[in-house]
Amino acid sequence: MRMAGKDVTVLLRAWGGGDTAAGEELFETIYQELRRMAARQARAREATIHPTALVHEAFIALAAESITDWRDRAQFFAFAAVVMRRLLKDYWRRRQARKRGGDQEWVVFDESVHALIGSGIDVEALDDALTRLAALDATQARIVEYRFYAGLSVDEVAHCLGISPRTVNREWGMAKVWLADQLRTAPSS
Amino acid sequence: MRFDGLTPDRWKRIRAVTSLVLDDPSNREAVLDRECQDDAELREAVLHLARSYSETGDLFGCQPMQIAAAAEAGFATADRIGPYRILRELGRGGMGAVYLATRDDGAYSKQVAVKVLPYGGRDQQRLFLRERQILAVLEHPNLTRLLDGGTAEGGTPYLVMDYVDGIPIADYAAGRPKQEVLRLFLQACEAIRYAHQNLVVHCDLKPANILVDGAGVVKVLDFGIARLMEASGVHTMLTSAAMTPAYASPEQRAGRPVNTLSDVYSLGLVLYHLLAGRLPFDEANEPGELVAPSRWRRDLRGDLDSIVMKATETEPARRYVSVEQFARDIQRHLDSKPVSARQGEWWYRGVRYVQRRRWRVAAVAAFAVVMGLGAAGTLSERAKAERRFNEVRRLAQSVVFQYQDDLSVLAGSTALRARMATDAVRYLDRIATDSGEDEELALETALAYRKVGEVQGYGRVASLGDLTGAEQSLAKSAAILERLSERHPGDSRMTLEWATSLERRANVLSLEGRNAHAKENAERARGLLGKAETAGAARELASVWRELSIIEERRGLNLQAIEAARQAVDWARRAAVPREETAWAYERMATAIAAGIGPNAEAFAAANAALGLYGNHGAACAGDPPCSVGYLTAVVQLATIHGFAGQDAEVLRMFREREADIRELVRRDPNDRSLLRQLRAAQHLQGQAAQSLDQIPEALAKFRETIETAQEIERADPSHPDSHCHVVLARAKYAEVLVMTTNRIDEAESQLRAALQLADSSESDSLTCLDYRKVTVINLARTAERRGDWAAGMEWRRETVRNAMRYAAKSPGEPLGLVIEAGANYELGLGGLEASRHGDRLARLKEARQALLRALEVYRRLHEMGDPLRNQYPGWPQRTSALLATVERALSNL
Repeated sequence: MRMAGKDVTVLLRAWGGGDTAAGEELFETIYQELRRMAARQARAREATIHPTALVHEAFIALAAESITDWRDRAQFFAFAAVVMRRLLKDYWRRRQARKRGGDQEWVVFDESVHALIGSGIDVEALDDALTRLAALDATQARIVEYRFYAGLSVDEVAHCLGISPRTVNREWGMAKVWLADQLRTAPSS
Repeated sequence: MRFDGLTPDRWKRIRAVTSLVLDDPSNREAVLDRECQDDAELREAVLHLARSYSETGDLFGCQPMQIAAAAEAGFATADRIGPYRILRELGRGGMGAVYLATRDDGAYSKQVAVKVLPYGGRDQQRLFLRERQILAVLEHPNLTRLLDGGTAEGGTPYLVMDYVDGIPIADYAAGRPKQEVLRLFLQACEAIRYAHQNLVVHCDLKPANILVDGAGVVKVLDFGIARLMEASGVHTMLTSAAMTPAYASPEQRAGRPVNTLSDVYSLGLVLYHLLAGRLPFDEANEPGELVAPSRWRRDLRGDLDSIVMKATETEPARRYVSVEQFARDIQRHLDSKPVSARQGEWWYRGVRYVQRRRWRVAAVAAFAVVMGLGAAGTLSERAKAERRFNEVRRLAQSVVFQYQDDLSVLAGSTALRARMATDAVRYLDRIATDSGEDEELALETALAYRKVGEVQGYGRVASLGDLTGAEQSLAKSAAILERLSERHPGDSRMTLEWATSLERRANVLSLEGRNAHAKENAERARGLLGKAETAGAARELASVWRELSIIEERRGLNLQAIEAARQAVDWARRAAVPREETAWAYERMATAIAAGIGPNAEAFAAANAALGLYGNHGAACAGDPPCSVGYLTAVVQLATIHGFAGQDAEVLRMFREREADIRELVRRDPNDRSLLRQLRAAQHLQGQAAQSLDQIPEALAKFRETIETAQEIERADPSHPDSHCHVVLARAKYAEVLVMTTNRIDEAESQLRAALQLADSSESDSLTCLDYRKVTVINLARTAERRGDWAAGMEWRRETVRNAMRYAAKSPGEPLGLVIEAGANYELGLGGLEASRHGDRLARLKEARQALLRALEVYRRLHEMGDPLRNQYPGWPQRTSALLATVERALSNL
């Protein structure tokens, strides 16, 4: 599958290697694709949309045929984590806006996400905290992003970041404590 | 906020010290003193981080204190555990520690290995004990025995095992000749085969667990420990790194239930390691597609490559069905005989195929040549390329659509058709990719993929039964159509095509036993079709509802199945769809009601409505194949409902009345395989009805006819794996009548042996096939028991349990597999009790108890799932408990 003249695999690898422009290009494409899918499913009156399933579909639509190596696949879903994070934050903002009479939401998340939202955690605060964590330690923030927003396995995260699974586990364990600490004490918006 | 206002360096420092504390928890204070000195803030931050730290659990779902306590408990520091005195530590890891120990109380002085497990909580103790009982039964020269076990002070569970003074098999094998390594490996296989026979799965096979002792004898360690640990609840606190060893099967890595086939995979990787001297991937990484072992050592090319690759297929269903078959292939290789792993290679079958059907293959070869030229042409001059491009496109089109239909009437052509279609669609796909954004071509490609998928495995037409291939093709078709639909929102044709591909995919997924996934696809198709504004959409919607009804029924949701069937009938009638399809909808409703509520008046009304569409007799259908098939299907369905209602005489009467009709239809279209299939179903129903009525000669005659018809279908469609399965069922049922009502035991046994051989040689491992294999095996048990050979009877009953496990493994998490698993264990318990009256009393009673406990465990799991399919096993759990009580009484009377 070709996309704007460039192969998705090439873009992914470039992004994995630190090319932010490639990341931007991918982000826009995948984000638009997700919006289209969500809108279509909303038209079809599907009750809920599983965000993971959406990303998976986007993967099939955009890259399944060209990406055959599992490493590239992991890279794709790592990328999807970035997208998911923004989706979730978008959703949260719209939800807040709707409370004040804003426009209709275009994506409905499934129960796992609702459980998170229902747990009293401020999604935007979490997002902000993660941004602050990235300033402290970028890799650690990435680990959370990959595990939490895309559900990558420890080994996959390890591969994407070029570190050992043991390190992934360690950093994940510590990042959770840091985040919980931040969220418990963050002022609610 | 303890972590506020940190600089990156400070945060790094806190983590570094925390890491040290975590690495050495027993010296926490010393580490803190050394690293923090006067920095009280650092000390506090580290303590907080270490205390709350947990690798497992979700972002906000961790329970830190409990996990820390448990992890500490896993490492014993005392110099004794229970009555055992610790001599030295043999090793430790995430799952606890292993010590060399000796018994202190003078009972015996042998050295043993004591494994201390992390504390799993009080609630888990009962499960832990039960599993230990099962393991204690295992005794084999190549296995280490579980000698003892218990709970030490503080509730820490421990296990005592044979101590083996040996070296890991990989170290032992390094540098030794291939033949010797293979023989060594066969010893390990033998131990694992034995354990599997006793229904114990290893789950953690790796070279470190397979030792070779001083006498060159292989010893497999830690059998069943993984499962035991799971039973004791410790998995909840293990890091994923500890549970995903390099040798884990893909299903294990994915966290899905494991079974004997997972051990086959791990064992395959061990062999890989032994032969190639390394693993196909980095130990830290997850394997993708494995590279063949010959990549590292060229002399492994051929048999050994194939054997290892077959054992390590990602898809469990494609692996060796048992360790026994795996070992048999290795033995055959050692004996220089052909191995089964290579029989699936397409060229092998292709050569045989060409030998049998020269003239038809010539036509295909000509086609392939044109295709090849065409493809080459696209690379050369432009104009020529353009022309050839169109030629290829047209040719591929006619191959997929036109020749397909022409060939479909030819008996035995299914394999050829699938191959042609697959090749053709590949070309279409390639030129579609080359041509960029040609949407029409993309549409053609999508429809071609669908056609290929149908030929490969769609349930409603004569197909190859290649469900995996079918599913892939249909997924591709749906993905392309989805993309096209995106670009043309509101194009109803595109939406309809997309929905159709999704519906086909749902059908195939459901046949594979993946009903949850099937449902997603069907629901999606339904959503797309919406209010079905066109006639075509309404017709498709009827199909989708019918599919949904079947899926819900397989998931055990009978009321939903009935509701979906009603919708199917509704839409079929509203859209004036062809008669055959309307009849299918009615038949679905009849079956759904009969299965869900019972064969009530509404079920009969629906079945009669279907038959009524054909004017209640088949004379008008002669010479019209779809009509003939439809009519006979309707008759069979109505008879099935009568059978449900126990009206066996009515079943026989119905068919007697229509005998001339049916014979005439078959005479007019003797080669129509769909018709033959319905004929077989009709004969089978009559055989069963006669059997219930104790009309033995009639039952035998009908099952004889069933065998013949099934064989005819097999001849006409040899490449469809399920063709063989119906022969298996027919033979098994014929033998069942013999063994249960006559003295013709020899004849019964020879039929059953033939059936079993056919079942095991067939490539199909479909759910249907496994179900029929079970009928065969249970009748083999009855045969042995009628001869008074109780040991053989027991062995066959064990085989039914293994068969059930294979069934359950194919559709993990689906309730039907569990119902079958429980039923087989019940049968084994029943057989064990009966056999215990004829000798070997203690062992057989124990085995019976073990089987019944397993059955109860499965029923408990079903209960936790909300008792789906409960009317398929009314009262079974109670009966199982009662039987268990009988067995326990017998045991206590010994």
